[in-house]
Amino acid sequence: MHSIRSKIAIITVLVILTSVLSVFGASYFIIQRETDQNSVDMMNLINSDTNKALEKYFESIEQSVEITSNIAIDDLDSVVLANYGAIKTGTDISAQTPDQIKALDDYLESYCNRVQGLFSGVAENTQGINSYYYCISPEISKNVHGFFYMKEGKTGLIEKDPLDASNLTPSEQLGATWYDTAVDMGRPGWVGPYIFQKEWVYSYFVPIYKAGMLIGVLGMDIPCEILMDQVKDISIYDTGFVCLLDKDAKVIYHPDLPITSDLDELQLSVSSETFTKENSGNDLIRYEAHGTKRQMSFSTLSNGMHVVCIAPTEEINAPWITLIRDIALITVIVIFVFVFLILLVIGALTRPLKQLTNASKRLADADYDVDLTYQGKDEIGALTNAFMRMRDQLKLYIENLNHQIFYDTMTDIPNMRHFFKLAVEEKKRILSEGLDPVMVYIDIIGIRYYNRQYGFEMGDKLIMDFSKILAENFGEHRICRFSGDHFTAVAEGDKVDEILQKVLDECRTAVDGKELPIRVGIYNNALEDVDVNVACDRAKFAADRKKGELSSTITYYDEDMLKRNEINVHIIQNLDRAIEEGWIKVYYQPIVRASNGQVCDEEALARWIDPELGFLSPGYFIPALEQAKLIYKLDLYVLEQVLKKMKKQKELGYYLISQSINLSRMDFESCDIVEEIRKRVDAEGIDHSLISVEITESVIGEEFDFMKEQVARFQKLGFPVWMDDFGSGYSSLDVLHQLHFDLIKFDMRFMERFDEGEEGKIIVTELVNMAISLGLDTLCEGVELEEQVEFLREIGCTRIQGYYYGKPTPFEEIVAKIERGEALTVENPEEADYYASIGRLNLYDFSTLSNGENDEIMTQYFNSLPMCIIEVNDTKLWYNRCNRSYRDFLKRTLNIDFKTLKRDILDTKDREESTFLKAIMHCCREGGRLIVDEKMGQDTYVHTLIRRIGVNPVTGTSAIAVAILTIANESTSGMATTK
Amino acid sequence: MKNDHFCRLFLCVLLTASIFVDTSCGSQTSTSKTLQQFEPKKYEISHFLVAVEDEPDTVDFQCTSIHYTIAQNVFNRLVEMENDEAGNMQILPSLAKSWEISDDGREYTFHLQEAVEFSNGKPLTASDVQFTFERLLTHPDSCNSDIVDIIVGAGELESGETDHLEGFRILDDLNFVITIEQPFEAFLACLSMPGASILDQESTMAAGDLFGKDPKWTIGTGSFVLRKWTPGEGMLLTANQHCWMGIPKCEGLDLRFVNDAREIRRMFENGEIDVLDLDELGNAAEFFLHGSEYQDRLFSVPRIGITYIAINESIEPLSDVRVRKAMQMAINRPVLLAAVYGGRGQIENGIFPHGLYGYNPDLPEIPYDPEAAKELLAKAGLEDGFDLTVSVNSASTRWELQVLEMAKSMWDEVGIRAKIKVIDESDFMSKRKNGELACYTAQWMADFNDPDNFIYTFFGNSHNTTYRSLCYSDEKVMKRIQQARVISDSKERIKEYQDLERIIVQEDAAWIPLYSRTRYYVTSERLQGIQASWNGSVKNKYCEMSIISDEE
Repeated sequence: MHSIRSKIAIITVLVILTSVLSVFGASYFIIQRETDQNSVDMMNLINSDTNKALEKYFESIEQSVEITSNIAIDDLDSVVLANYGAIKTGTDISAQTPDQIKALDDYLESYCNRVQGLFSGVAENTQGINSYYYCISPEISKNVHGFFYMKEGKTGLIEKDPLDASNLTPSEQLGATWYDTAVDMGRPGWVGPYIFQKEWVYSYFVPIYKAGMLIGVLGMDIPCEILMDQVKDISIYDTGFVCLLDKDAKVIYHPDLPITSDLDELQLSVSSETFTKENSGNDLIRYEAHGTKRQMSFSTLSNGMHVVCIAPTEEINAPWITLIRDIALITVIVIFVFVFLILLVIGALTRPLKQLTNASKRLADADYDVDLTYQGKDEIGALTNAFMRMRDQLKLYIENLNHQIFYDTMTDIPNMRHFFKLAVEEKKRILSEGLDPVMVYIDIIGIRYYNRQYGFEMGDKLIMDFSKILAENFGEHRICRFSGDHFTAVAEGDKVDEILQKVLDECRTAVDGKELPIRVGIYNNALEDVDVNVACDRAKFAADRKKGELSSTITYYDEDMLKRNEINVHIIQNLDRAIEEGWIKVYYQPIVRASNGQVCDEEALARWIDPELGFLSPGYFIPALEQAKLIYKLDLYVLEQVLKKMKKQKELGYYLISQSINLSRMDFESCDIVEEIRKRVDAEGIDHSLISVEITESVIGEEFDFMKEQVARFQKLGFPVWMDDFGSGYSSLDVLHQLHFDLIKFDMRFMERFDEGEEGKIIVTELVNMAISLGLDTLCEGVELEEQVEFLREIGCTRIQGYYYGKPTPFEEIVAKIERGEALTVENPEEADYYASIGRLNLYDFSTLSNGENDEIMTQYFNSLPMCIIEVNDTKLWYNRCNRSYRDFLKRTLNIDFKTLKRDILDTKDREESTFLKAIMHCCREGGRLIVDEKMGQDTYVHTLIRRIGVNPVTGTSAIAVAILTIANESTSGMATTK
Repeated sequence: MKNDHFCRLFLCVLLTASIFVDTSCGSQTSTSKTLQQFEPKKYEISHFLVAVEDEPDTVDFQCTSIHYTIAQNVFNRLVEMENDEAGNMQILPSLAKSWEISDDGREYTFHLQEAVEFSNGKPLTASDVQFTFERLLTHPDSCNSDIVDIIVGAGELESGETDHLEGFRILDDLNFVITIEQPFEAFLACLSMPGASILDQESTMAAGDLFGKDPKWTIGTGSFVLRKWTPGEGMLLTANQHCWMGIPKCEGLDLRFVNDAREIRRMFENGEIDVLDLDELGNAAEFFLHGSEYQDRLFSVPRIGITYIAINESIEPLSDVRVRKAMQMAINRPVLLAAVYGGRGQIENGIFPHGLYGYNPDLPEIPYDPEAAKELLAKAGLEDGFDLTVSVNSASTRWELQVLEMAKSMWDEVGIRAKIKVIDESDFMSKRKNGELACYTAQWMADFNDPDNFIYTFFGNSHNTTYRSLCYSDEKVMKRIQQARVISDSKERIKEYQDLERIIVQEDAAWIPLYSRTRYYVTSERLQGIQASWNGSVKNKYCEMSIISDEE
């Protein structure tokens, strides 16, 4: 990871480096060029200075000689020369006479003296000369040679013997005598360097002409040493120097080379041509000599001499190379210093950031105690501040949140999550004390009804009050509100009873002085050391075992429950296997229509025949599967089996009768059960009306609207929906009001208590009545006795289920029974409507007969009318059923017991004459209704309403409803009181 | 370095500009126009021929008798004069491609070259010639009017009686007739003089006083065009690319105004001057004549002029021809020449020097014979000699003095006691004009290549001869001289001149001819094709010289 610090440092360094490098590069070239230019300027300056000095020097010599020479020419009298025969003409060839020679010599002698006199004066005023002389041409005079003055030692110019031009030694350097050289030159000029009188000299000669004739050579010598002195001490850079070359580019002075060395020896890369220029101009001449690179500039003097300035390139470049090196060094130092400073500064800047980062990390790791010290007023300071505020806020929120998470909002006691933690700790603590920890599960009984009665607010208050009781007795951190009205607590095994007793005591007056019943389950860890949540589960399980009891209970989780639990686990784990391997069998229990005693429905019931555990009760595996939310698998499996069976029935040519399947509340939660069922039923091509769905009342309870919708969906699809186990729990009649079921199935407990008194019968009767009034079919299960059957038939319960007719049986057995002819008759579906319509007729409800006519008096009157249903086939007729009033009527009026035997009308005469019978027959044939009066016995006239309510399409049997409207000699009130 | 940068920058700009110009339509004509306008800039001054000049007041050749360099290089004349191989004068056509002379020698019919243009593009016509001659006669500062004063009506025009030169008749643009008052064989030679150079009427009239002073207004037909005149420094002349004679061989002339001998020498030695007239150097000239260095670059030509010693016949005892002859014979002229000029010249024995048209090589030599001279003096009754005052102009050059000093010493030998008297220039001139000087020395250089220019000047009439303090007395001879002028047959005329020359010098010893000098030039190494005209001047031959440029 690159920290901001290193990033900024790197970027800054890069920026500095880039700019430094570009500046460096630019300055490199600029300096190089400048240095180059400087060296050119400097060397040229030295050249021109030297040049000027030398030029001045030479000029002074030249002037001296020329001044003298001008006078020497002017002083010479050409007339005299002519007269003394010195001037020769082409025509005059006569030789000079001795007199003339003598005279000329004399003349010349004096002439030379004059010139010498002048020249000496001039020479004395001329610096740096070695000698001056006038050498008379031997052609003018053989005797007069002129004069010669020369410096010797440190003395001044001393007269020497005149130089005889005809007797001079040729100079090695000049290739001739200096005199001849001068004469050959023909004009004033510098000659040299050459050795004269053992000394290297440079001479300025002026040939003197008069009348076109050479008179002699006037000259001055300068020692080369003086020239050398002029340049010897000039040094450029370290070893650079100035040297002098003569006009032929031969060395006059060079620190390393002897005088007159050739140009070649300098190893200049240039030819002597180069030196014909006045100077080297703006460019230095670069060359390499003796392995050293050098640069040279030169300038040419007016006399052709060259001043050459030479310096090694290395030295010329040395300053700028040093400069560059220094700059580079400084740059490196600057960069280092900058990097250091940047690191420092950025370090200082980023320290709070770093702190912040660390703090953030710690904060991210939920360390809310992290503290920051930075107090700066800059952005980071602000950030730090903000961070601190954020931390405080966060801390607050987290604490708050933690509380919310770990504590129940309503009761402010630990919630489940928190409790588990606490419980684990508590368990450890208790165990460490050598005690057995127990888990207590507490449920308030009937809180739902309390809520409904007093409102949720009061309910909540109750829960809060109760939680206070628990907190007081168990301790604040040993209890928990699990959910709703469920609480858990942890306690020591030896103290739990004591604590609970106190709790129960307090509960006795908890609800405004009234008792608050609670259901308590206890799991002692001694039974089996399990996790806290498992213990909780088991405690709940124990408590739930007493579900339904309305007073306070305390239940210990025992070995059985443990075993049961194991079974549950087994069931849940093996459901799929059970389905696959056929451990689950579907048994069918017949449902018989009360009106004809034929099987009109079958209820499909799952049976778990476990290879390990044997036959498992649905009471075991259904709750287990419900709890595991796996019940839908079972239920759908059952449906599939049912459909398979129906397919088979079809194949076998049996009547297809309605099959009912049980649905659990969990089915609706686990999947779209409506759709799942429809899919499967449609897949088998079974009519929806043939599959009834049984839903227990408890299913409806909690999510009423949802269930209402689901029921409506089933019904819309044509599936009849039955309410199962009506009357088993907190059944509410309101449900029946809100939801329209196709059938109500009364819980078998009604039959179980059949013998326990009249109350049960009354309830059932009234319930059936109510159902009939609501237009619902009724079914009673758990019917085992004939009298029960009779009772149910009488009260108008349309269908009956129970061992009386048959246990749940596998299909194979049913088939076998059928084959054996032992099976119950199965209702022909075509007759179903007929019997259904008979069954639906409420003998307690006149409206079913009056066909909607609103006659208040009649209604009042007939509300308790004796009624019966008579079936008529051809001439035979028999009672299908009747109401109690009718029985009473029969008993009292005709003194006969109600019997369902078939009788032939044509059997007895009297019966043939009976108007009543006639009317029935008529009604049978014609339909509609009739009111007949018949005299029954003595003085008794019976006013009867007869109406056909249906015709069996198979047998042609007609069902006739009969209502005794009035009995002439009896008061209606008397009839009404009959029970 | 900086120059490099500048050059590069300039090149870039130029390149950009040229691209711009090339790509932009329709601008090409204007470009070429611009080029024409700036034509002179094409010249590279370093290729110009460099010569030294005295700075003139004016280059108006009609108004100066000193400075003819511009006249000779920027202008042309109707004819030019040149010597043929035999040294005889030849009149060559110039602006006049041909001419006819009437039998009576008075009418000259000239035919101008066709398609000659002045450097301003104006064509040359006969009226330009007429304008030139009329201006020559009428210009108040004119000093060369004598060239054309022989034309009929010149006097009247000059005096203002008329505004028209009667003797000048234009036939058409290119042809015209000049009538002169009397036949004059040297008339054409006169027309070849620089003063007779032909002007452009239009521009010269427009120029007014600026002509000859402002290069812009100094328009001619010659080989060069005067471009620039920087007072105190020099003049620049560029080659006339449209010159009717053809383009000159050098790109231009760079004339420097320098008159210090030492400076001139320095410049030459530094290679700054291409043509050096050694006359300019005085004593220093010797340094170029001797020694080996300049021998190859020396160029010598005869100087058409004569150095003489004038003898005033009107002053005793010089009126005696024997005395004059004695004076002639007493002078050792070769020694004189040698002593003064190192023998660089020719001994002359008459009036017409070597190189002059009509020079007579057969003229007997005047011997150096002091004894004979003495005898002659004795015969004249001057055995003891006589005193003679010899005058020297204070402004005269050293050589005049030297000549006279030597002559003095030579005359001394024979008893003539000469006394050299240096007198003030104006005094000298007025005395000479009045014929009062007894003896002096001078030289006469040919104005034009005709003997008339010599003999008439000195001996043509009594005025002329008095004017030179010669005071020649033989009227007959003078008459003959005048008559010789109109001898139309040149041979006849030369014969007559030569005869007269012999009479005047050899018989009458009217003057002492000394010598004619050789003229020397040194050229720079880069100059090629140096030539001189008949009178030894190189100034009107610049167009024939070329400069070898360094690059080549």
